[in-house]
Amino acid sequence: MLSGFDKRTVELQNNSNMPLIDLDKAIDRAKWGADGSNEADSVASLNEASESISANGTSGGAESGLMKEEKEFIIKVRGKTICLNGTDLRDSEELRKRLTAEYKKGDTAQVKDDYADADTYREVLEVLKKLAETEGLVYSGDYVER
Amino acid sequence: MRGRKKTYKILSFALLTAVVVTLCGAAFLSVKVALDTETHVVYQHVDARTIIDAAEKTAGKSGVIRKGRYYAVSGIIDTKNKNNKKLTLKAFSTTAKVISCSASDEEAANAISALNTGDKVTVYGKLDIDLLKKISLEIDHIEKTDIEAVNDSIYSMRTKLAMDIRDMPERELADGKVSYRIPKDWEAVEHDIVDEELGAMEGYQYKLNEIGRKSEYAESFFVCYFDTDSFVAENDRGNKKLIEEAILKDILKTDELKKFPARNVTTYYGAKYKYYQDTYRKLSGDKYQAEFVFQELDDGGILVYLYIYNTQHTKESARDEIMLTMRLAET
Repeated sequence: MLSGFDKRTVELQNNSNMPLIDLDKAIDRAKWGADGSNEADSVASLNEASESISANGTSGGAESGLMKEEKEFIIKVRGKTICLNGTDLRDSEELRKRLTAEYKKGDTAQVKDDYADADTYREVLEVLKKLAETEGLVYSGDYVER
Repeated sequence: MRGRKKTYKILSFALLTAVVVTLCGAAFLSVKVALDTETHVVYQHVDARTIIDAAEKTAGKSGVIRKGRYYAVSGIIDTKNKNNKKLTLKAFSTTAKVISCSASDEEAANAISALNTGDKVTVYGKLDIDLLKKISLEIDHIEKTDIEAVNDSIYSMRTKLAMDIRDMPERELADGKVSYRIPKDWEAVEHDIVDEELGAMEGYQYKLNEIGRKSEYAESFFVCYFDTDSFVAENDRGNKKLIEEAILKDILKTDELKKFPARNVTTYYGAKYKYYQDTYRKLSGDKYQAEFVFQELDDGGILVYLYIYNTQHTKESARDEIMLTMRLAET
């Protein structure tokens, strides 16, 4: 009962400049390709990008992947839910808006089929196809003809 | 008359207090945790003879076989009753004693109904050995088997994930005060926290989402030793709860904590755990669930487990492997 009134705290004596665990760093490094340990995977993804669909015929995928400031959009479709880089979106229209706003030349996109609803998956591909035609977006993924 | 009224009042108050305390206790226990040792039980595989011999020698109070723990016991059905709720299990080799097994639910009873006396089976359940050394097992699961020799170095989560601890690499913390074993494929995703400048606390990070490329979202398990003597001033070392709160604040970078401990558990293998759960938001906006488990050690140090996962995207959780690792930790 009395513990609720005990406002005492303990200060840790940590002489290093680091927290006990740097979660931001640990989580960032736990993403694929975030450190050297996933070099093989990164190379594979670059190769995939170079072979991926580009409606305007550009071959910028492999080249763009080598530049650090360029990013890859990870789009996961689970059921009817579209998820862009970890954030769930309302629909494919929001995906189109987000990609249009955030896309910079050289960025790539990867689509992941996580037991996707076929219609939703098609809508996502449509958005990407349009962006490939208008902006030169290079995208790849584990899609199949449906 | 007045005295009797007063007695009733006191009794009513006591009863009400008991009800409130019970309800609060129930609410306290009902906090769901991901690393729940009661629902994700690890069974050690043994043959019936090992259990019977251990019951005779130690009554399950010391050694490998302990009452209250969970085992996958292989033997032969000696008898079973008509309603399929109970059976006795004998060893492959002749022994005078048998193990009394009772079905804990309908599923187990249904499984028993398909079995006959003389069948070789493996019974998964919680062991009890009473004062008269009578051995009983509450059946969680039962299945036919064709094996006759069981190695007690095998652990499993019922029919899923069986591992032989001889194949599991061993790790030590705090100069051997803590040792634990990891699944073989964790070696490839293991990172030393101090050496790789991931933090100041001794321990390891396991990047579980990278095993088999399960998810691009982080799923990590940390096993760390918090050296109280190094990190806490001498005068403050007595209050473990305050120390653990300081650890949480340091790692989660916050001054405001939720209820701590979210749950207190004494596990079936004797470890005492304190749980804490919170959401960890990265600056990028990614949201992760953080679950801490503290185990206070006799030397004053604290074994800290931390499980980080994304609730939406951790599709194939490595939780079973984590439960196995925690189960096999020795302090």
